[in-house]
Amino acid sequence: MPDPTDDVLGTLGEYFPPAIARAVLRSTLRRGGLDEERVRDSEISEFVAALERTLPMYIVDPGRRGECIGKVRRLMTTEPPPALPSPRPRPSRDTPRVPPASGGFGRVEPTASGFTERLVGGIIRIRTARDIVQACDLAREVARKLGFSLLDQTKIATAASELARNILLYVGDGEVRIGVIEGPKRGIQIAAVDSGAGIPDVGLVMNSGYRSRTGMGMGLKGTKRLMDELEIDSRPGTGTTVVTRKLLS
Amino acid sequence: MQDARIPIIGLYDDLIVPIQGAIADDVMVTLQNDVTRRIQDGNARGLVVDVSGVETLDSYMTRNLRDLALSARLMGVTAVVSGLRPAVAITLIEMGLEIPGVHTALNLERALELLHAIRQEEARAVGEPGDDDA
Ligand SMILES: Nc1ncnc2c1ncn2[C@@H]1O[C@H](COP(=O)(O)OP(=O)(O)OP(=O)(O)O)[C@@H](O)[C@H]1O
Ligand SMILES: [Mg+2]
Repeated sequence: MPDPTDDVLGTLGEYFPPAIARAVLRSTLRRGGLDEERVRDSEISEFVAALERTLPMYIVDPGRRGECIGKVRRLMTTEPPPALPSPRPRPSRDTPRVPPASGGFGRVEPTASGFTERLVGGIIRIRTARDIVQACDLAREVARKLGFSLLDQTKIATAASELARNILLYVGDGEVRIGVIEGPKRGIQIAAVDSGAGIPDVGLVMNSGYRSRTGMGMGLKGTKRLMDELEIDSRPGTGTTVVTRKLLS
Repeated sequence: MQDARIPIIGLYDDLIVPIQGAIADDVMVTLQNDVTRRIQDGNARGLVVDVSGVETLDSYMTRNLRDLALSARLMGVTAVVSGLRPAVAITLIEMGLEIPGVHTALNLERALELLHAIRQEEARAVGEPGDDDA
């Protein structure tokens, strides 16, 4: 049987640009505790389960999300999937989606970590310095709505700015996603995703003695100090995903 | 969105640069050029960069700010960063960022007082009259 990874990527590719599709795949595999590089035949059902937990971060609309999961699930059957009409156009990713004023943030789904994540703030494509400002403002806005203190709003906005800045400086194109997490505690999550060259040695850049040539080498370390959690998934050739969270106390 | 150019206000011997909101990189580059040109063309002795309107400073912007102040210093102009908001200052400290070699002041008024005091101190050191009675 052929490697299903390509099919899965192909399906995700109907919803995301290729770089983001790969990042979603990676993030899903990691979440499902599966092989880091590829989906095996025997793992498809586990992969689908992990995808159901991951996807709310990436596709806000429950209908579109269900449709995407359905398509991936269909890959399990030996029957080729029914021919589909041309893939739906992606929504414009240049303008952020503003959270509804009612405070109703949409559907909530559980994740492996006991937290649920909802993408409420939106997705900001990072291609210019103005986009960084937008990501920063949106992070502050979501943090404020969640009830973070002014100081924490500032830390969160700064974190968003650092991650967006790195995308612009070192890759030139990528996305910052801002969402709310629910669980034992509420909080905010900022995910920065790109498909650039990757960070060759993540341990090194997080080391307290590190100084970079390009900047001060304080961005990622500093962001970790400002937030409660920070995870970096980066490998040469596949790009970088940085996810950081701060919880309300 | 703000204007693409940040105004530079001349006040007696000093230049005042009020920065509002987020500073896009291109704006910062323009500002750096504008400030150095004003210093070259005029007789400025002090520079105050007022950041009371800035809600967020990341490491990159902080470095730009520091470079602006340091390049002024290299041209013989004393630079003061004023009005750093408490939340911004605490965030910078927590990240481990500093603006070394740059004076800071609580607000614009204090910054101008500080520049004045520094000039008097310098004048005393070289045995000239202060700029009080200038
Ligand atoms: N998204 C990314 N893609 C590729 N390389 C990256 C990415 N983000 C960071 N890096 C690399 O990791 C290094 C450390 O990043 P970090 O943000 O901590 O410091 P910096 O950007 O060099 O300086 P500062 O953020 O203090 O201005 C960078 O110098 C860069 O080489
Ligand atoms: Mg950086």
